[in-house]
Amino acid sequence: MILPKDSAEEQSFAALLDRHDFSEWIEGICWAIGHCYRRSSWQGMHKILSCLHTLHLAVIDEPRRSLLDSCVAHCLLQVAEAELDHLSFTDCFDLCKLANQRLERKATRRMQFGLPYRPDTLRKVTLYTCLAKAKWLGPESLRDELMPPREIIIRYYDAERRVRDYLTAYPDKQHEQDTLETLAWCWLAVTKLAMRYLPEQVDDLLDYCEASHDNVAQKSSHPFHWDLHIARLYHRKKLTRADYERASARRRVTLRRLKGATYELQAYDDYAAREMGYMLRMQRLELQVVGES
Amino acid sequence: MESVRECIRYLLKRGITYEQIAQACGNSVSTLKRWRKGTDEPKLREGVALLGLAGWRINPAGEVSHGAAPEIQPEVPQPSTEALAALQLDQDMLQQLFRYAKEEHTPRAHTNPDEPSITADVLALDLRELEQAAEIIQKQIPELATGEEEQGTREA
Repeated sequence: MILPKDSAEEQSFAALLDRHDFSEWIEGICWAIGHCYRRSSWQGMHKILSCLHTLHLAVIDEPRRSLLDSCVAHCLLQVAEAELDHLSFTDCFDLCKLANQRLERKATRRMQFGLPYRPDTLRKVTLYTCLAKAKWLGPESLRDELMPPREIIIRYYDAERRVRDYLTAYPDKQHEQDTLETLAWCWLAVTKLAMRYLPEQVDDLLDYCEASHDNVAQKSSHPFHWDLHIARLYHRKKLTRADYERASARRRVTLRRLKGATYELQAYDDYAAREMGYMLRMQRLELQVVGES
Repeated sequence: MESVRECIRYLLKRGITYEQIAQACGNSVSTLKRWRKGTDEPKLREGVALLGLAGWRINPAGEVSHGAAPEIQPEVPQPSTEALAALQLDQDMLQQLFRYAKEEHTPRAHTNPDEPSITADVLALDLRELEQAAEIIQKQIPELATGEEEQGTREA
């Protein structure tokens, strides 16, 4: 049924659409790709990339092009995370490289055009999260791909400081929670990376969590606690199927509370199923190598 | 955002409870009640998500049309059903987003010589980058490789 022209719904919707400007559209696309990612919709992500391809031909002027570049980097990183959930480490790194290149080119171009520098800190935090997760679980040959673990940790601390300074200078209640959540996910990924390659950094990172992230690592009501528990068992080579299933179930329940809706967890469920098989297989292989030597 | 208030009323009139709406759209019951009363306003994306959930459609001219009353499932029925419903919701919402972006709000072409604009070689590089990403994604979508994406989705 098409509503009459003068209906309240139509009038208010027209007003709603009028309020859309380019930056809101960009925000909408960033949100849409996250939505597709959480629901494991590859078709949706593919469509968004097609849409961005079309937009590239129309948006060639600054400053809108910079907004589009940030959006592209965000979308590429979201797809990289989806690849990571499927344990496609090489594809994940390829996408991270593309996103990194895009951010670097954007910064260079803005400098050439005499536009102010945009640090794109939150996009970079997402990049570090993705790289840290991939290096934590992926093959050792990828350890120094794109940037070595130590550099990721240093950059993470720097980004966290920048974002917190920004939030202090420009309080933004609407976006603050999302921003802090992005930083917390990066902290989790970086801590797991440190467990594998830089164990001497783990205590510092846990102290940092206590000071800056509400000490979520110690709270059994938070999914990070259970994620770290699984990571610890894995690195001590003491992970069993029963341990994983128990901790994973608690992680899922706490994540469900955090996210608010079951359907948001589809990507998580897909990932958890693969993660367990992969971890147990890798642990068995490593124990075999140790036994043989 | 008047449409969201109307949308919640529309769902409630059709016997769908606050709890069911909250579960399907990922917001709390108290938030929905505040939106319903107008004491709080949803963000734009939350509003669009809720309207899409209610089966409301917006055409490029900004006309709103109602679909059939939506079926909101209680807690996680069958994984396959949920996956399909989620995919369908993706498709509908993306179609709305893209139709609007493409037909209504395609950004203006670059016409002002005073504004800096990118060069053709940078544009080609950017486009190639996205094509590379699309090629990577395609590996995960077998239907795309055989050109049966639409058919496969419909059959699903």
